[in-house]
Amino acid sequence: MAGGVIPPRCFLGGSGMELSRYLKVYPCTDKPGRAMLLATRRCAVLELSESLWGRVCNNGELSEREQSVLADKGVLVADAAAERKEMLETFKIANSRKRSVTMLVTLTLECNLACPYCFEDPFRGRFLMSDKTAELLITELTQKMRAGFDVKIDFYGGEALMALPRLKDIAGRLEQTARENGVKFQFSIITNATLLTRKVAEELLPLGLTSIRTTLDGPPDIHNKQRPFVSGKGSFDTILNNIKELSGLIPIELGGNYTHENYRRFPEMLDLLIQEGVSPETFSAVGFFPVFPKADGSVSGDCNSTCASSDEPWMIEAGLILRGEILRRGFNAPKPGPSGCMVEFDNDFVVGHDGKLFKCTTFMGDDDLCVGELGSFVADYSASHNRDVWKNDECLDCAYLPLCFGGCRFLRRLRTGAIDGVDCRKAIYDATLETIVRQDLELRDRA
Amino acid sequence: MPLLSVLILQHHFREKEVEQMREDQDLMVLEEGVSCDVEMACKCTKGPIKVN
Repeated sequence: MAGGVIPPRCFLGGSGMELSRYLKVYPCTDKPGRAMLLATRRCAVLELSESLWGRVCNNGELSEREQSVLADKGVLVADAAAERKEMLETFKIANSRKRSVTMLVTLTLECNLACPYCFEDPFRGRFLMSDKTAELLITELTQKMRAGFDVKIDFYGGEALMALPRLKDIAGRLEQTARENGVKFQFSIITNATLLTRKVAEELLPLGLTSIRTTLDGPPDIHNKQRPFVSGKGSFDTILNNIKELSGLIPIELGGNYTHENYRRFPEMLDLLIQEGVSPETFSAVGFFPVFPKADGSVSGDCNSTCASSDEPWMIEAGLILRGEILRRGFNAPKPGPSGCMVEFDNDFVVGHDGKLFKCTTFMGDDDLCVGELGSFVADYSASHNRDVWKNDECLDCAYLPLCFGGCRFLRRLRTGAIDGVDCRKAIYDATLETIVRQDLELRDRA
Repeated sequence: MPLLSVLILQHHFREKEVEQMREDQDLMVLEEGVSCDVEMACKCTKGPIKVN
């Protein structure tokens, strides 16, 4: 069985097609004679027999159905060289087709929590978005709506809800503008959820609120240490009560930040949620991630097991274990899919509280990576952000390219001090992707 | 239709069914996948960077 091995550029004379480069083959150890294919451009998963895989690899005849299915799912392509060239145009095509604008808007850098790992630590404080900056934002987005673009905002902070009047003003006016122009306006809030009562959510829903993203860092003792109020008091109970109130009202995406020392205890929090009557369906997705160093590369004193890369062995183990536990309890975990950095998307920006524009929240506070200002032009950031960093032979021939596109600029900068190359994900995908795919097949609720 | 013709037709269709079943087992789609459209990867919270 040729499981795990893809033959070098394989021309399928029988079908006149070729194997895609963007393909992983995994042997089915529990089913001798069969293999699993993952076509990474679509993230389609197929299982096939040894005899069929042999025919695919050895220029054999394929039935009409076999050829059609394998082509439809991205395993076979008409021209592998053309597909490689097509990958170079991925974001050019995506940007030309995209009829929406996404802005991650920082309303304030003030926060009522004092999380020791907060990556905004180097630049946070009592900085609120001014009237003038809010007007510039509304003017810019109004222009986009008049040009036919839908607008999506992720309100962000600090704690975004510490600037609730500003949030309501912006959302209310944009919602009205969207209606007048026949386009969509919607927003989500990235919030610690301490201030998000049912009453507040009900006020925001008619203004376009469609989802929230919040955080629980494990069971109460860990969470309260990692995410205390400024006063030092724990925030777990407040957040849990608000989640209970919001359950069924609005989709909640739940995150959590773990360290090497505490990740094994995160499933306790999921069990606690269920015991407290918060069903898995309350959450649109759940994902836990390791604590990374702060934006300036520093690490807080009590969170010293942070990571400057995503392929450390403990992280790989932790990520897979926690993903499995999430799915096993009936919660949803994000599936892998084609994705790229905000750097690649022409119309999407992080808006600082002062109207400065960035391509990543972690770059706020670093004027060298500011790409423009509201009401002004956007500079060409191709060189400063190494936009084409993945357009090299190694990446273009890598089966993981559709999932990665050069990885995370922030992590690369953490490691080397500059965005001077890719944040290669090959090692982590080699170690995790097969398990992730099998988790989705075996643990996800298929009802 | 004569009985013989009916039997031949049944046999023919059974063969087709068996062939289809064998083909279906030879190649199974376990996940349909998504469109090739790329999405933004990174949805940051204040702590970690979501890296998928």
